[in-house]
Amino acid sequence: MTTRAGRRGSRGRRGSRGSRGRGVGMPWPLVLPAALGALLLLLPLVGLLWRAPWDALPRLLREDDVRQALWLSIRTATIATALSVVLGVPLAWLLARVEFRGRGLARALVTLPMVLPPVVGGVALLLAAGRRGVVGRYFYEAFGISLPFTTAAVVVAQTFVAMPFLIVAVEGALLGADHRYEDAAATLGASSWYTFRRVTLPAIGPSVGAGAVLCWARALGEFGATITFAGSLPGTTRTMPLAVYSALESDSDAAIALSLVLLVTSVVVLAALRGRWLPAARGAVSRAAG
Amino acid sequence: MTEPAVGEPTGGGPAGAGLRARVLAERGGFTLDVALEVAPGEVVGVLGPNGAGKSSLLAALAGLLPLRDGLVSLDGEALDDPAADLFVEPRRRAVGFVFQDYLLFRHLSVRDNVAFGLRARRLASRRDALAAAEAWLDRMDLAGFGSRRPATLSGGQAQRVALARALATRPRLLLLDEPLAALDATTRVDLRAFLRATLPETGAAVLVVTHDPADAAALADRLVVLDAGTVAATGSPAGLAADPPSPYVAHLFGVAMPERR
Repeated sequence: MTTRAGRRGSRGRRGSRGSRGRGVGMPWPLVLPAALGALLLLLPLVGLLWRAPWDALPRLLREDDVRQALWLSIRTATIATALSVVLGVPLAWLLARVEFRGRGLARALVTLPMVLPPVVGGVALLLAAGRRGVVGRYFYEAFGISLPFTTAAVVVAQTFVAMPFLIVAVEGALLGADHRYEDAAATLGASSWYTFRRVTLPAIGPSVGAGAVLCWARALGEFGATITFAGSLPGTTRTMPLAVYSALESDSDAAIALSLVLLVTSVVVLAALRGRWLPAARGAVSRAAG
Repeated sequence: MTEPAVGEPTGGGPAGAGLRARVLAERGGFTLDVALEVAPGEVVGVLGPNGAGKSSLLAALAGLLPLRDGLVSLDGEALDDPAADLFVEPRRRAVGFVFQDYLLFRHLSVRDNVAFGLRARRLASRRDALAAAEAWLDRMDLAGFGSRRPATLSGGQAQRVALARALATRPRLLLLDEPLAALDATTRVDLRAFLRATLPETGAAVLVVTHDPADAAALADRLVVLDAGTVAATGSPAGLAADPPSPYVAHLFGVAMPERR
């Protein structure tokens, strides 16, 4: 089971999961770029840890603007995730279960924010919901409400960028799930809403959870759309990534400290999702085998 | 070909009682063209090789596969009548379906599985539905299994839970897809005897799909042999075995001679 390549991978005890197959040779044209690639990914993180002001860290993290940014980020990312679940799960269900004209196009558009540069998303949001925006204009005239540069705008920007991650995870789970359970529910007299609540949703629950974690992590790291659509106002819209960026100009130690917090969060998220990365693909495979 | 009264209920009289079906349906390039009737309390076996259209027939009767043409009526009430543009959704049909691989809801207890239909149809309060489920489990020799998860059941137990779940809403047509196929030999014999005793008692018109002539002969009063989407033969198990109307039927029964109990 343990191949030379597998041992090199050295992610230890759990290595038995993937590497089946016989011992694989190590051709240099592959190993060299692979090692360079790994360095490229890891070196910056090592640099961050190396330069971290460990002694000053407790003090830095207790500073008002740092705590403010941290708290704002946690709040907005959580609300954005909740919003993504409430809106994204039904949307994923629609894309996976209902055949309608233009479904392929809808699917592509929904996932567009995943590849769209976030700053473009921010510009688009500004043009749509800004005070003179396509939709925002009427809101401003009717209620005197203007969305941009508010905490709500942060949430909207984060949701715009992060919801597709949840949708993709949930849609994949729905496509991988055995729809005959829904047939069985129908023959028992269940309406489609009842079936969704009592059969479909419990079956895809773990994927919704994984998608939500992924979504939250993405929302937490959101920068481009936020700074374009919501600005960087301390206490109101300056989330962690924005705080890192602005601190970098004045107090690089604070920037590093904030970065560390984000790094630790990412590692925790990754650990939580271990084995559930792209749950859709895994689900489909294990069900096909089972 | 029978001509059931189209669209007009016969008031539950014997004329319209049970299942009357002429099924013309298509699924992935495969055409199914089958006519059959099943009286209340009668158990009819649908026999045929893989790909004969057995499962498609059940799907069409349950409403999971809409007809292209023909008519399905149950106790005089039309369920699917393309000519009249009438289609009763699966959930509004008094049709119970026992799937080949049971399809028990894995996240629900056995009790909740059996109560599912009663609660989905709002036929009973939660408490009454759960009590009814327990009674059904009793009847299936599964007393005390209510709190178990489906994953902890043996094949024979799971099959009986699936049967209880389908029967709990008191369907007038009961469809069983290969109820014995997934079981080991001992369980198979036991469950066959159990089904033989239980199915006629339900009072429903019962259709049992199987590819095994011995199972069909043991369970059914009458057989319908399907081949390539059409009816190849009908008759009693003994009659078909003694005087096979076609080489195909002879071959089918030659492979495993039926022992009638």
